[in-house]
Amino acid sequence: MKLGHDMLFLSDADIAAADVSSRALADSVDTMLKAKAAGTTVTKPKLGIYPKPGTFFQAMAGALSAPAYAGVKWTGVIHDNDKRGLPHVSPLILLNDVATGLPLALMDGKWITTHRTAALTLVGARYLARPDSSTIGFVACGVQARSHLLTFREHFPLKRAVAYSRRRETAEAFAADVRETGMPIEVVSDPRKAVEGMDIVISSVPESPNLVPFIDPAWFSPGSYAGLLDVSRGVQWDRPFAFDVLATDDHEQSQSMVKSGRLKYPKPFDTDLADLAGGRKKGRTTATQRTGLVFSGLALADVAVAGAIYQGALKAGRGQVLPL
Amino acid sequence: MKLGKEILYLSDADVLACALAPGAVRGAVEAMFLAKANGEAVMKPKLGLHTKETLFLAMVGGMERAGFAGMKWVGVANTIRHGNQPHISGHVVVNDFTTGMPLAVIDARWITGARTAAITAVAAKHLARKDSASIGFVACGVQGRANLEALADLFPVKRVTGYSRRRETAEAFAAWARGRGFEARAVGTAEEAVKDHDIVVTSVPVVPKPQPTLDASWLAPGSFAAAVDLGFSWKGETLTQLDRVVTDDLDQAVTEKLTYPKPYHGEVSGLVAGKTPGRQSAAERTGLVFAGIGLADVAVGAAVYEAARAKGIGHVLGL
Repeated sequence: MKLGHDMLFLSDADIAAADVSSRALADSVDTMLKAKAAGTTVTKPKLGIYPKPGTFFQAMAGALSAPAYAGVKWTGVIHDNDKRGLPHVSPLILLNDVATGLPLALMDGKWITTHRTAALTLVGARYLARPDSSTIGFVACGVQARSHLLTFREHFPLKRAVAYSRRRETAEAFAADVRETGMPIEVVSDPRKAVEGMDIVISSVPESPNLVPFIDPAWFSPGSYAGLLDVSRGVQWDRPFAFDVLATDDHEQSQSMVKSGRLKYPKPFDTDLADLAGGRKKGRTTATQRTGLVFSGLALADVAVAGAIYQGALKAGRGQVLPL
Repeated sequence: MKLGKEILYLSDADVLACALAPGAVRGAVEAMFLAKANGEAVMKPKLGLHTKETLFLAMVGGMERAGFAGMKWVGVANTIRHGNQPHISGHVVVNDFTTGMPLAVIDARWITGARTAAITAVAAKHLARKDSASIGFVACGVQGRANLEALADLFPVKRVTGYSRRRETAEAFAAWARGRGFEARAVGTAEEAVKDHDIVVTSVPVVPKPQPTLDASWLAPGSFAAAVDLGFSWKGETLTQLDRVVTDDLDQAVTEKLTYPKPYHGEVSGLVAGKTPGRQSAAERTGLVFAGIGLADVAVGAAVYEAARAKGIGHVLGL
């Protein structure tokens, strides 16, 4: 491959075959966050078009200086795609060389989106969760629940899981898969039971035009960590709440989402991931604090993870070379 | 090709092999502007990431009626390059509007030139004199060539003048234009390329600290000036002498800090839809100052994709 002449294409299968560990992903995200805290990265809030309810498209772009990759992830998010047997999202990632601007890679974004999200929740947990967290509750039981369970099992002494989904059969299907791995899991029909008493709560409620928030923030227990990777869209923020440290992934992006009404948390966040990773703010300081991370995904995390996978693919000779 | 499972990849050579005619590109851009005027096309101003060496841009747009959405992602060098490396490189992604699934990833170089020239051409239909026969170019790169092809498709162009900071670039451009049957020459000053021309196209590469050198008082009565370079090559105040000046998107004109300091007379979309008046007399001096919109990339990208499908061009990639 020659810069300016070719680029590498990596399919979802090529990327999954790389089988990058959750630790390696979290480490590359953590390294990126430290660089962001040091001011050596460039990013902007997501750029989205919202043509009609249930349909939007967004671009997420960021540039790193070491390794010097710039990238964008572009995806449509179509609410009623399940009717068509298609996924809600089908992202593509383009990775370019910062020095010349030239393209390096085109990558399918499905695996990366799923795993970088779990890596962000995990990095948040490094600063905000109790290391002895042993129970985990899931609100919504799709792709994200699966990748989060796999990831969190590797890093916390999890003994028990609880699963809630709007459609009971979705939770049952998730639980069946989890049981096969030897982890006890209970399916509940009341979302409260997947939140209350849990050390870690993972909420991944999908975007929907007629969603009514249903999680009472008072359900979160002392000592818990909430990974609200659905921008907390399921949480009733008009009710009283008592989080001791509530973080977001990126202050600027979250502010712009509050402005556009897509993020409903009514207060300024206590900290963001770059502040935590860069040591500018403390995370959890006591075993009884209620903590949480409310986020929508960071473009720089996609670029960091895509960059690591691209480097790995180059070394392993994986992927297809495309002429520019 | 299976929706959601496969996409079409088109390299620069593939795009050239599609051989879209200037009229087809103009038609795609015109239809997009009509949709924009009717509120059927959505876009946002460009997102820019400024690094020390390169400006990266993401540009997005969607057109429900046409059935496409898309994004262009390009790196723009902060310094002017001489040699084989492109000043702008990247890709256009074209998606199916209804399902959101990606359809194609297309090299952005040709599309960027062609769509920009098509914006000029669509505006020129309403702002230039029908008998415009001479075009002066300030900067003679990709945009100079693309604009000449697009404008010659609409106007009885005979005389072409090229100025470039580097004389050999202007000479190469003039030789290329002579090869296409124009009376073309290279000149030593920008003023010579502006004065006494019916149409003037400026496309000085956009760099972080542009030096404005052009004075709108040089423009002849009855002329139309297209500033493909966001107007950065023009002394902004002098552009206010023009009788009417439009842009491609009023919101983006603000975020991109185009040099025209007064309110615009409207958008190209308004000209196309008949909502914004075009040239009113043979003596008026008119202008177009613009940065290029993602909707134009999506419109032309979709036309390239359809041509490639029809001709069996490109590489099918399994996602």
